[in-house]
Amino acid sequence: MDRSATARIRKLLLAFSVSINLGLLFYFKYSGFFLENVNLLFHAAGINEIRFVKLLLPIGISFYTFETITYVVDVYRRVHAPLKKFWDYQLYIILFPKLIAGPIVRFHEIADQITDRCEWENNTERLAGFVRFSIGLGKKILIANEVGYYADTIFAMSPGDYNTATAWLGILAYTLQIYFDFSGYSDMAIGICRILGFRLPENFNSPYISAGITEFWRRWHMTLGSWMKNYLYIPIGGNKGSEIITYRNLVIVFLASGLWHGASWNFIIWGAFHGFFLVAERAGLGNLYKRTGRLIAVIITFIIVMNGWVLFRIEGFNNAMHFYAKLYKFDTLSPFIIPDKGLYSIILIALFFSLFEGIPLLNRLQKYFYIPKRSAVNYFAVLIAFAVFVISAARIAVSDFNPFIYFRF
Amino acid sequence: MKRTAGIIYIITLIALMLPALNGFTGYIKTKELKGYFQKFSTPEFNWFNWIHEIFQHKAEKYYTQNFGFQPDLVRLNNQINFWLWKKTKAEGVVLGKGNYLYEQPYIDAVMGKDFVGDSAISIKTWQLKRVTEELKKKNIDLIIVFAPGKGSFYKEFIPDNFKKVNDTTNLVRFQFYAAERNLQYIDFNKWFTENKTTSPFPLYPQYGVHWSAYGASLVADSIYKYIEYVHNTDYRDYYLKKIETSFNCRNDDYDAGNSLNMIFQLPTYKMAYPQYKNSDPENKPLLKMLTVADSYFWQIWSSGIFNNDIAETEYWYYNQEIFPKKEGVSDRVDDKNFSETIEKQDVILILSNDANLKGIGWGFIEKLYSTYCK
Repeated sequence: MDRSATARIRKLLLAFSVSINLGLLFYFKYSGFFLENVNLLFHAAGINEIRFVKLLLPIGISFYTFETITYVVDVYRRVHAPLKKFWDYQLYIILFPKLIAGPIVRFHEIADQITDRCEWENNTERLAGFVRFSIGLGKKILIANEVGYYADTIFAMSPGDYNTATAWLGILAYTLQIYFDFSGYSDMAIGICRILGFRLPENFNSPYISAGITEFWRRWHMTLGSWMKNYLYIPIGGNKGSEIITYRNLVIVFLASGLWHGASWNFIIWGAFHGFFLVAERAGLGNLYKRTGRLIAVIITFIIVMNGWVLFRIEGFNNAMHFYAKLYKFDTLSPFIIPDKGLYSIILIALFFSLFEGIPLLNRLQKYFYIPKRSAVNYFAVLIAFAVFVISAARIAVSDFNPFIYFRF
Repeated sequence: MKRTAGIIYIITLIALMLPALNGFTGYIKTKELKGYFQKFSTPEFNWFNWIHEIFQHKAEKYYTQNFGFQPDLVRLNNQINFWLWKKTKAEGVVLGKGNYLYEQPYIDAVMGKDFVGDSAISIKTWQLKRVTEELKKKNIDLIIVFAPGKGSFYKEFIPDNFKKVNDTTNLVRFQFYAAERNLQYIDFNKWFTENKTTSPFPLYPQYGVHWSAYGASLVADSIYKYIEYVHNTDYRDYYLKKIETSFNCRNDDYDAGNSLNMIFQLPTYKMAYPQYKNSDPENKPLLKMLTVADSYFWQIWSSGIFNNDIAETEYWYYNQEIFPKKEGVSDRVDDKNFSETIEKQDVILILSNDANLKGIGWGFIEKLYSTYCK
């Protein structure tokens, strides 16, 4: 494709490559969902259903499929020359820290690093990578897993078994779990890659301090947002057309985002939910946020995002509706499910770390942990990171350990 | 600065690799974790295990349990959890007020949660009555001992979230029927409660599940005297050889504390460890006693009164396992010739704390009844 001078051939080869990639993704991830829905229609029409075998989903397929697409598109657009060696290409796709859950690295962002990492291969970078990895590990083990226990408990129960306060605490716990889990994983991937000499793009930027869903998607899973913008939104027209066309394009992108997350109507509706607010902000809601002030806008956005996570977490649309009913029913008669000791403290800590970037002084302090500088402050960061690493390892060590005092008959 | 970064990087790398290195070499010995827990075996790798994800699950469990310094990391985690949230990771252990540790069943017993019903207790005590009468004809005394459970003794430290489930408890009804049926029994509940604040040493440890070694030694002495009274025999004498005291709890006095697997031992009151010795080895008869008891008898055993040439005691632990163990002889109760063993004894002692009253005897009483009363 790169060597071909004919635009038509290049386009055909691009289409062929993208089709194969999306085709494989569709086959493994969406064929079952597609056939289930076809069968529903067939059933309603009295036609025999199509039998199919549920396929095992190859791990990370959504991530590396998008990366293979960036490769062919970037080469097609002549943003960057293709890699000369097959194993360099494999290194780009299968680079293990980012393979399973991102960040989604666009080819041109990392292309030069595949063959030359001299700039980043030094001990200061490696230490910075270790710090980043440890912080990610701490986010996942010490915060995400802890709040996740409570969220899992609540979502495993029927909404009829607990009151409204429990429902809100449960969805708050999940809101924090998904952020610290995903951003923690991203930190670990970025950290390990930094140790290896790679610089990956950032994936999160304190999304919960967003004053609007538009801003939220500039801070949450930024590499997915970047991919969607450059490889879907802009190619289908972006904001170049009329307002209606722009809204249409935004909705398409967010439906695709939702579907990318999972083969289920809940995810599609979640995508539509965010798309709706994005369009609404362009249509006037954004101006309203400016008038209410940033703090109110952040709070409203946080509540909107929390409500969106209900669709993300709960399987089945009906089940999600039951949970929403519990959230807004103001039920005080059903029992409050008391969390384990320490959960409130961990939630407060998690909220602090989610929101502290909104405070300029703390924002500057954070940079010391993420940006390597030849200063004593960074060595202190290494010490803190090592402590977090050890405490996280201790938490992992005890995961299945619950001894009895005595052997029981 | 470059050099400093390099040195720190090397140090960090070595520190991170230490657990893996120690896991393989075992060079640095680390203290084993306390308590009973499942130990995972080395996962077997074969095609079947791999395809069915058996190997992966087993490997995860095995390596999580067996990587270098795992016990130390467990202790670190447990210590931090305790400091920050007063959380414990031992199965069934409840952390009460003032850091008093309980096992869940002892709290359930106090709250009446395990109440088996009046008729069950009535039947059991009636069987005991009948058996007592039949054994008495063979000059064997059957004695019941009610040991105070920790929940009963330290009611005030039970967390507030535990609520009374029943108006009565197994202990209350056993006390009632034991008195009504005129059984030969000793109830230590009242005595322990009355002497809780005046005893020179704790009768119950803060971090142990059972009565303290000191409390158990007083119980042992009382039981021995009661046996002499009931059996109308002046058995061998003993004397208090010494009382060792310590702020470091020993053995069962810290059993619940040990199961927390923390780095630092919790601070405790001064505990006492009396030791008794036989003072009259030849002149007086040796008491022959069979004890069927729960783990509360262990501290009595350790006092030295019911062994050491003072008495000859066979201990049937939960009516399943026999102590002391003898070489070449089965340690299972089921393998014993039941009536032959019973009729060799002067005294049969059945001991239970209130948490075990729901199953007191563990089948022994029923077997006695079917052997001697039918």
